[in-house]
Amino acid sequence: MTTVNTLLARATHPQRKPFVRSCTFTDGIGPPPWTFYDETQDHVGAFFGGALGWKYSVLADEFEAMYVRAGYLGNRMITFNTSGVVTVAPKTTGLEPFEHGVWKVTGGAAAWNYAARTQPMDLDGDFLITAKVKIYSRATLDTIALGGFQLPCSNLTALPSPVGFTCGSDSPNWFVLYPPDSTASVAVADTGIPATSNAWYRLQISRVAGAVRWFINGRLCIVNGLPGYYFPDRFTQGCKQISMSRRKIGAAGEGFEIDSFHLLAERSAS
Amino acid sequence: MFDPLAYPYVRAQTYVDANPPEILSDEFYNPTQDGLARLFGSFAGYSTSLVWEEFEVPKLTSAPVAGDAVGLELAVVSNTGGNFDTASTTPVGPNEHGVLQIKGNVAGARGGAPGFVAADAYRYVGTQRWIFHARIRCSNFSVLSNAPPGLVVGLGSLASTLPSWITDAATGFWNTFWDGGITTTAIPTVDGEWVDLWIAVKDADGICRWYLKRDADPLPMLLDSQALVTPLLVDVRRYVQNIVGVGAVAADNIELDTIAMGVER
Repeated sequence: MTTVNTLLARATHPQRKPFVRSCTFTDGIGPPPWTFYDETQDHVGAFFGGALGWKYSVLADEFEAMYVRAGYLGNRMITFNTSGVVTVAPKTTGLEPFEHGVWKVTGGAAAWNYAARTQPMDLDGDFLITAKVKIYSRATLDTIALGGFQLPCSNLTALPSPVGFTCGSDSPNWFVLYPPDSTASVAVADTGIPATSNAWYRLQISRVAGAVRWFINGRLCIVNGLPGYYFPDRFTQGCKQISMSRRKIGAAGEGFEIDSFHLLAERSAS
Repeated sequence: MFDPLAYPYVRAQTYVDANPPEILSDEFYNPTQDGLARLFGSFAGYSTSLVWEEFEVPKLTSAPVAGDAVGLELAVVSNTGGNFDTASTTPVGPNEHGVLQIKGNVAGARGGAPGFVAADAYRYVGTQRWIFHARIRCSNFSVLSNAPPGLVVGLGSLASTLPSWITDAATGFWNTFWDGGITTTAIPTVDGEWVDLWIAVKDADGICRWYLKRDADPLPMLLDSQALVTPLLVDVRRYVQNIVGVGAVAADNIELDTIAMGVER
């Protein structure tokens, strides 16, 4: 059957082709032409385009490097680090199953506030952000309102406000960040999914034909009673950003680990 | 993967359900397998070398010296007199996905040639197939050097005679450059206009092709095809050079959004 809306086949939904098999074929029964041949052409084309800087951007960071450039977290520049107390280092011992190159971001006993982001980029089309992170101690972070842990798709102070993830000491759950409208400050909504300390989470933000969806460890988040949020606006300050704060004295060594941080973004004007 | 006008960059055919199409092996089944093999080969380090620099890493304004990083994959080869600055820029329009600006920190010729040069590591390409792509713009073409040309984007320096795109203040058009000469295309240079520039050898015949696309163009335009005098290519790099004349002010700049290359191993 022909898919009515071809935009829905874009390669920015993590639970659709090309990330998963769309159907299992049986010998002698061919696939419907549109849903296999055209989509396959478009998805292979998206990857080739991204690799050559055309139609898509493919920005991958696997944190496999052993060398830490001063002032950077992988490909992100550290934009805020209170008194320089937060340190960044590759994880060299005690790796757990499926950890493929991990960096640790840890603070001392004093209060700290930390943020790092990539260079701003204009996200005018669809995109898929995937980050795998582990928070050591959610309960001691700042509250959500104070930005305990945040992973937005754009600069938080720019308009429109970003979509993203957040959690903090005032709730045991993951929340999503979203812009109520193009000019409003960022709002939050409870996903009902626990944000457990010392557990790995794969956080994904997907925009397909303007529909934003959030996924946590592959589970679609229900936000304000809906499985997604329509927000096709252009993020003029898009970036891969991560931040965490604990603006009070506490235990040394708290912070987070990061295993990967990827962005696939449509280049809308080329 | 070496032809920007063919699948997988563009569809070979749009299929419809109501009229079952003829699925041709040479337009779908075989190139799909070949294309996926190229991608997997490049990721596993054989069959294909595929690298792309997106300038996603933020860079504060500074005058880099030879050897300093330009993005993640290129490095400064020359910065005459330390008179060029590099810095990340804030997007000012759609489709700007991490942009690095190269500008002056003094007015005037900034020390003249060789000016600012950035490149990545050398490759022995030989007579294999390859594709080069860069997305670039120049804020003021009128201040570019004329001799030597003030903007070179391609596989190497003019002295190397490797295929490149070049332009200067006097020409007013984008030019192709190879070891047999220069062709002036019909595409004018426009201040501040993003252009996507490709160079590729897509077939075993060794013909080198130059493509250009502005944002409003639906597809890349094939603007020149040349048989290289020396088709065996050595010391190939992703290469950018900027030289300005005495009329330049510090703010005159070029900007890079992406620079990529794929080579058959």
